[in-house]
Amino acid sequence: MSWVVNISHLPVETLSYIFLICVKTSEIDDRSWNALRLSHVCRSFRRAALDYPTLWTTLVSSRTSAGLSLVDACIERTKGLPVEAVVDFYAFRKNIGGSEAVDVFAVDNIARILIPVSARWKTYMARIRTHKFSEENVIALSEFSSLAMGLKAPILTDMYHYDMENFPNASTHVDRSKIYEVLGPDSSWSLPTLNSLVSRNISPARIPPQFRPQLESLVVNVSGNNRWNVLDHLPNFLQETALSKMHLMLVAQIFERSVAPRCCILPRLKSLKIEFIVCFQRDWGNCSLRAAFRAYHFTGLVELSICQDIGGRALTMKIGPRLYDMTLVSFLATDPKHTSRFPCLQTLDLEITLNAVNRDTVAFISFRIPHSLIPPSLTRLTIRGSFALSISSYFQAPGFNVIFPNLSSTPASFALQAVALNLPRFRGVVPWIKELVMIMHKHSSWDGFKTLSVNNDPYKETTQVIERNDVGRWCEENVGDR
Amino acid sequence: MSTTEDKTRKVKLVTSDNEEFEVDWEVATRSVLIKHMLEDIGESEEQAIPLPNVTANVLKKVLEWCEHHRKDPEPAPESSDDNRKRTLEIGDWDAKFIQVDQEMLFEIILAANYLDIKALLDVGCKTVANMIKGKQPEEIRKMFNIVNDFTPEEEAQIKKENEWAEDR
Repeated sequence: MSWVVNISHLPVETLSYIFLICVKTSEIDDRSWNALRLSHVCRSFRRAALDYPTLWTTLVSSRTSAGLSLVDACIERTKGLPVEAVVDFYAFRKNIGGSEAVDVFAVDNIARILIPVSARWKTYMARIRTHKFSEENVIALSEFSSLAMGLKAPILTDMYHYDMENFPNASTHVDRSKIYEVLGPDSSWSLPTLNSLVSRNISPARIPPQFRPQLESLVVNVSGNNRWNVLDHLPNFLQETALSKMHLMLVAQIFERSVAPRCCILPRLKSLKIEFIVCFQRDWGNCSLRAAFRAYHFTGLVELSICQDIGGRALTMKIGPRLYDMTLVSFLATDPKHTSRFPCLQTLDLEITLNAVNRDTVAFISFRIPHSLIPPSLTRLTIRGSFALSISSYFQAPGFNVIFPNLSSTPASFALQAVALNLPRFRGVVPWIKELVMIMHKHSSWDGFKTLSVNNDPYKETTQVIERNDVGRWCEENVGDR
Repeated sequence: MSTTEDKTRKVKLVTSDNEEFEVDWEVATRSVLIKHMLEDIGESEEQAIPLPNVTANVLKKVLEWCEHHRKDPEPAPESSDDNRKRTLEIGDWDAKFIQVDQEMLFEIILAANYLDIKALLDVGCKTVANMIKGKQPEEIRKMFNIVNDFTPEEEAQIKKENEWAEDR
């Protein structure tokens, strides 16, 4: 008889690991259901699943009374492990006849099960949802508030505040103030190990001041219109934190204000990722994107990663026959009275995509990176793009020097050692590289430069490394690549 | 830490069906098990490493993977299962490499587990996870030819647990 190896021959720890991958890569709402399904296949699967507490650690709102039994079972099956607690808060505009409507609020009654085990919360996710709910599966905001009074979560490290409504419709948008009051944490909570906050469409300033100095990592995801209130309180909030890492994701934001926020100096922040996706300005008159960020001084920042699309409305500027995308310039530009907003920056990673709205016109847009924007401390610059990006350093244009007065003067020195280009074609970048070489020579900084790495196929490991002395030759060879 | 001498060194491996493979040290030591065995036997180049749990056709496949990944950085120190990267993504080359029949897939996983090649084990486990994910128990049974061997008592419990999913 031949020996045929099948899934039943896998050691139990390997089978459990496969289950873990299945469960933990699922959407958060499906995790416990997927674990349950795996335990229903056969006896060996069931044993592997039930003996592996980590599979059951996501305690998520089920929106049915029967589903709460699974949450109870999960708590038992976790055998005392730390858990991820997810509580849904509902804000719903209920029609009460004719054109009359009333806003109703509630909390999923999973809260009754989760709050008593708060000592095991490793993460707490509060989600605001706007769909209809069944009265029998919810509790009142006031009941949640009283249950959660004095809540103690001694091992909780990560908090998530999610408003699930990405693009609110002004006519149906329900004011969330009542939910914000109870969402948690409030000042009665004890969260000695909280250090990370992920906030989606909810201002991080909802976190009471007592917890802010603990925060080391912050993600703010702002999607859709009318979300400026989320960013309004950011500078004050950030000043009270000890953040070393921050990620700002701005999706479909309209920059329309000209007033810069109060000066915000962030000496502890080491790593920043910022994304501008389908953002635009009202007009160039206000230069609002620049106004939104000019007051931030990233005095301790070492790593900066910027992901942006090009071609956002009023973020491009017509100079001569060409359009230039000015998002990056707007974000990085320095006020005349300051020498640099990024004095310690060592690595800058730029990822450029095409604007989904203006996709047809972006092929004619150049990406603007004046060499004067390169911070003197920068050692590594990476530029990625999935299209034939054209980069320009050109900055002379009527009115341009008024908006960006500091761009005409290059830094006194460059520390740049490495440039990496991950682009399908290099022709549009070669003049910019040639000019960079020239400027670095002029400032006696070229001897410190080491390598230019180029890769025109992101799916292949075909990076070509060009040594300093060969960069000129590479430029000549690639000036007309197709 | 590997030396230049190590990198030029050849290693002999003998499979359960007595086939001998001679491979570069850098390729063989993708396996933590082989690496430790080589450390134990020292400089002796002639001594072959016996691999009684791996057949020649499976080792050939495993060595193909090790050859492709010979320059990869050393794997990170052991992390807990919960902290391992939660993604189902597999690199292009690995995805093509693992397009094998089910029997070979499980043979590769068993060999990776025995030889302690964490990254290859990950590729195999993610492939199986991709096959299982989102499927109903009956579909999983059918896919892997698994017999439903629950006792009547267990069946009753499972029926009860299925009621938790009502209205879902």
